[in-house]
Amino acid sequence: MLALARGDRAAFGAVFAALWPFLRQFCSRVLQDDSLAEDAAQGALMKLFFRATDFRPDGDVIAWALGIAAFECRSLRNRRTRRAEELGHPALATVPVTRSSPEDEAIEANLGVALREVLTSLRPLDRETLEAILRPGSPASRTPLLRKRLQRAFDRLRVAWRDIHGSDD
Amino acid sequence: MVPMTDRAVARRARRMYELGRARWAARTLLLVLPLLVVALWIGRPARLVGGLGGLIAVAGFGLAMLHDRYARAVQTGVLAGIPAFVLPLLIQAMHFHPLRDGMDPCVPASFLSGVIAGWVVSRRAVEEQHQRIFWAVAVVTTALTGSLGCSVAGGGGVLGMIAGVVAGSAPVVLRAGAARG
Repeated sequence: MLALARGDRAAFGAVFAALWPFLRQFCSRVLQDDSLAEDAAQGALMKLFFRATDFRPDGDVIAWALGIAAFECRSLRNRRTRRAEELGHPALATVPVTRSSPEDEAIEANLGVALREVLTSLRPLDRETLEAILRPGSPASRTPLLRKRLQRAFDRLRVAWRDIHGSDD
Repeated sequence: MVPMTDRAVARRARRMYELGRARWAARTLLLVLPLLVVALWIGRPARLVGGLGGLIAVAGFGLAMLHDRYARAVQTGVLAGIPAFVLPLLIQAMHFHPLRDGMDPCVPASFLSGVIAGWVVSRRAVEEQHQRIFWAVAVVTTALTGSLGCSVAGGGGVLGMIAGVVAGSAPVVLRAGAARG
């Protein structure tokens, strides 16, 4: 390191080979996060080489490198914490809901099974009316007769649901 | 940060090292540039200051980038050249009469300041591990710096200063050579 600090470029390879794995290992142990540790180790290495000419003959390379790496680890961790805080509740509230969560999908599937069970208990005419209206591409115009049948079918469905599941919510 | 291969990291680290080295080498300019400003301020020709000063600045920066020993040599050379830069100008400003044989008094002043510079540079060079290269770089820098002032007495002043540098260096170099055996 001292030779490199003086300007001997030939020492670069040896210094790099010694410091790079050492810094990676140190940052990995401190941060317990591989990607963050890689960033911290790279940042520390770049700072170390940028300031290599400032290295003093009476200095301890390991202590110096660890000092820079520790500072880099702390800075990165703080930066990540700050970013997480900045992206708190207000930001999460603006996240668009484009797809349902796995939990929602499971609930929806259960409801579908329960609904099909209840539908099988209805009269064929009520079941056909409900299926016709729930089918994709159902007619937009509803005749008075259809509306009447639909209302009756819904009333019976509600009663049947309450009989089987105890609540119509 | 994007994951990089070790070779890419090494290349980037090398670039950072060279940048840091350039930052460090730029300190040489802190010594050279004020001297050039002073030279212009006291009325030395702009072309002379631009030419010689530019050469000192560029060479100083480049040599300091290369290695510490060259940076030290340039620094020593510039500092040792300051008397050679100032003394002839002082003599001229005091309007000394020409010597008995019609010689400009700035010429012996240049010689004398050259002797001082040569002695300082040589004393400093013997402390170095690479004495010859240190001495050569320092003497050239001294000559360039001194020429900014010695040229007030024309070519004679510059030659006198260079002769003085050689004369001032000789005893120290000879003694160092004798000590090495």
